[in-house]
Amino acid sequence: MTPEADLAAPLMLDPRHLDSETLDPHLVDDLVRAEQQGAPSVLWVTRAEDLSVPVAAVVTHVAVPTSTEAALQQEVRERVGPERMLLAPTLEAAGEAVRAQREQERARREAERARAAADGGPLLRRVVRRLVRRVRGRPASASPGSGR
Amino acid sequence: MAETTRVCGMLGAGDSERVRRMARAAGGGEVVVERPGLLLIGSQGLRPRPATTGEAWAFSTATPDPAALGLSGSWEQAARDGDVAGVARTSEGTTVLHSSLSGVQPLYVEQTRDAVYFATRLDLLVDTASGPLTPDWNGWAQIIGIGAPLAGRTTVSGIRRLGPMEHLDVAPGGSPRSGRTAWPWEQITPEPGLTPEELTGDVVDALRDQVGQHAAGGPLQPMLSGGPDSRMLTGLAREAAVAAGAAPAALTAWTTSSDTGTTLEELTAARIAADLGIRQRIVSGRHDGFSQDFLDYAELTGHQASFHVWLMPVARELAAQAGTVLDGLGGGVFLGGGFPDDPQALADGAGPQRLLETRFGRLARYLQVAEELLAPGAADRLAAAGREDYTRIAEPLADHPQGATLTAYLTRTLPGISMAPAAVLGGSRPTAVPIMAHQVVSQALRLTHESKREGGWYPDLLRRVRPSFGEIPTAADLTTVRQHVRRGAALDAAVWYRELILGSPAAVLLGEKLRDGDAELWRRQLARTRAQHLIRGLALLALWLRRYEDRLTETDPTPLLRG
Repeated sequence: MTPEADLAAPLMLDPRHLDSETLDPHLVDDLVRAEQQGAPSVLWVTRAEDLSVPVAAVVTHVAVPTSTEAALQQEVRERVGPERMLLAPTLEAAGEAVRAQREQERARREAERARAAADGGPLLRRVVRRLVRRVRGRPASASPGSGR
Repeated sequence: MAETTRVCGMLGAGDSERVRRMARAAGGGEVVVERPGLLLIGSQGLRPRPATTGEAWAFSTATPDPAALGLSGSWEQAARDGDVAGVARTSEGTTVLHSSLSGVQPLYVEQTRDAVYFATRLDLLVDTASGPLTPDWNGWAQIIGIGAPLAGRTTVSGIRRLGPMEHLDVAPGGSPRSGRTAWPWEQITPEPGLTPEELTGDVVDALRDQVGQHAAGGPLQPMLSGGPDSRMLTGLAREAAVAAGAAPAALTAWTTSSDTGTTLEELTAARIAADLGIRQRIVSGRHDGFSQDFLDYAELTGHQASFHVWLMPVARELAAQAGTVLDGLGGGVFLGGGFPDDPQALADGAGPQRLLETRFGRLARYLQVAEELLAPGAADRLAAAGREDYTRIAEPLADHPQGATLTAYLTRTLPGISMAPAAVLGGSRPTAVPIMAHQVVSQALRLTHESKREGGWYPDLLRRVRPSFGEIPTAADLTTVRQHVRRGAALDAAVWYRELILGSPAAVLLGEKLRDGDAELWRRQLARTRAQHLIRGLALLALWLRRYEDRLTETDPTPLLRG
């Protein structure tokens, strides 16, 4: 992810305003834009049924009110995993939380990169590997759809 | 077709009770024929085939109606024109077991002096084998290093998978004899000057025919990733549904996450579904279901591959649906110009030997991190085991004009990737792979690889199916960042992999870094594609050793460290 992408505003989604059966084409456009910009998308879940809306399958995070019952929090954690779950008092606070999380991730990655560079670790190895490949000739890359 | 394809049987004089045990383990099935020298048990996917002399039966991952397709000639004709595997019995009593043209329908065999036992699932033969099981360490080296066993190898010695157009014959009172007839796809060479656009109409018509045949047997369930192959098949499925009088909205396309850190596939598929006016179901895997998905995938593939573990949730959903699943297997390799030769090697005028090397380098690319992650000796041993069988397959194709395509098909698509439609989706519903039909592939092979390179044919193919398709970008076109936590690389997945492998004899294959690393280190490795493939291969081995622990001649995989 690029540093600029980290700063993109999260897309906050409330299931009460979403189609429960299909992904609205305008919402799809918003989500595609968010994906391309590296902007998180956050679904605000207050009931177990909210996890059944189609958009639940494509958001980066699911936020649960801190005041909600433990059973719902547990269900969300088990369904999407702790890395994608946010606990927040309000939808707005969830947005702030995801921004803070992204900032932390960015700081961690930068620290990792700095450590690796200091150790002559993976970054240096990647650079050397790239240079070797350039000298020997790059392996051919696969074309679109080539996985199948 | 109501049922998935499950077939087992025996040619020659053997233990019929073993075949019945296989059938029971497969969930039952009708005894279709029981004669001296032939026992055949199967689900509805095993269908009688009209034969001009003798008798014949056919099956595939979505068995067509052999009579309607005119598959009444020799087994070679049926295998080619219907892409069916099957059994044929001459009036003199000689029986022939044969695979299909593509080989996508898995067919495993165990050959003894007097009999051939066969099944469409590996575990049926392994579980009912008499005596201890001898691990095929070369097969395992390939599963770990390449992603699937090559050249018909499996996880155990003595049980192998038949390749395309391979057959076994048993005459009355005789011993099994094996052979392979000429592979029709190898005999097709590109026609100079022929452009893809000249064949677009024929290929789309052939795909339409294939999809239409399956639509005649019930509802279609197209898999829709939003890529060019799946959108063509989904578009044709809609055509077939509408032609049959159904509303477009009656058709459901199935999408899941391929766990690559982006949801642009799901979103692109949503755009395609909206364009077609059909329903889309996005089935995503549960975080806490990852290990179960891995276990189930391992079982369904006979522990031979782990490329598409993420398909399990949608495969389970599809089991509750009716009709036939459509899968785009083969599109990338035959239509999309995938797996091109190294442009630098071609520019240098590289000879067959260098092309062989570069093709192997790509196939075995996961091994690039083997020295870093595996125990000393493992990287060389895995590469050597892979190279030996790879060479047997690839050398005869080294200077074939379609060598890159056919080598990629035989060493990657067929042994590994095809497990997804054939064993996993095919374990839930009959699953058709229309692009693999001879009527499609034989056209595509008339074109040079260069003319299809970088997916250059797709815009015309897509426009011919539905003009608006060409206007909708693919996920590959749109992807700039990968911001989603990957389910298979989450910390919980790392904890599971680490405990599984460290608690198994497979741990002997780990290098110091993984052996001593904590779950966080494993998580970071799982986020690297090549490292994840190696770890998944070790996990398959760990699960397999656990499952067959009491029946194996040895459970110590140290042979994978020796040259």
